[in-house]
Amino acid sequence: MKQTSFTEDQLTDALRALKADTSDERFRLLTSEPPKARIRPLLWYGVAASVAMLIVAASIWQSSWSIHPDTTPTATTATVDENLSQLVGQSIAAQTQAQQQRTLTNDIVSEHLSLVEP
Amino acid sequence: MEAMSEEQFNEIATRERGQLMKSALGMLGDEELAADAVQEALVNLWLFRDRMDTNRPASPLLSTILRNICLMYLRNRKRRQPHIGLESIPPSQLHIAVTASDNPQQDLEARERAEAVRQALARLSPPHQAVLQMHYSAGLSIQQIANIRNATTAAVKQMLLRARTALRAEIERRNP
Repeated sequence: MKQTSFTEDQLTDALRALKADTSDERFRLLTSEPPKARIRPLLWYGVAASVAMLIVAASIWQSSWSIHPDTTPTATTATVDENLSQLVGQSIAAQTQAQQQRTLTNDIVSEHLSLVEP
Repeated sequence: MEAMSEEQFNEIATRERGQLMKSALGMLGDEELAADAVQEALVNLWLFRDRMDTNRPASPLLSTILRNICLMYLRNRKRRQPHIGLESIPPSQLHIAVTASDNPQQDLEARERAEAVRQALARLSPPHQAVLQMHYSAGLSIQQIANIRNATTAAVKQMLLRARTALRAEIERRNP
């Protein structure tokens, strides 16, 4: 047989006779979910969830400091307590001193008046 | 279950092509290879149209087909196998289906012609192989091929004509 004697119709028929693989096996191969594709989104979801949690934690931390704008983040609770007790001590000492001065003044005035009176 | 019509296919191909191209480019990192993968995915959608439920959206299935094709391309690349595009169904794997007639002699000749064409087809350039297989083996119309390739129908007709001429020349060269 001489293939060079192909007519246009014969060439078309020959081309149409060549069929692509449409078996069930190939269909399954093409339409099955690839294993990597199942794992990869889970990884991305994990990363996205971690980032979201970090963002939320950071925003909560920042907002907790913004409630007390005068407090510097370096001050610790212990330092604050220490300063407070120091201030209370100083205040009590000042009050005691003022009381002593008042008593002393009263004594001097009384003594002076007793001297003045006949 | 109703089989996908040509109009439905054209609509899906036009609508999904851009998104599919982005996905394929993301996986393969090569524009030409990505275009081939998208083309192959759409051709397979058409080939398996009888098994698809037209009431369901085509995009998830199309994405799965594309991913599998891209993975095949990547595996071939790792093995350093040459890329053959739609011809990842190489002509050697196309099976010959000659409709039996009353004349066995004619059937035999038709089978021999098909075999000669299959051998010559394997020697054509990948774009020529692709367009001939899409039109004749997969049964896609000129308009469908134009939608798949994002080309005009005139360009597809021109390419088909050139591919047929090249095929005929190859047959004559092999059988002087």
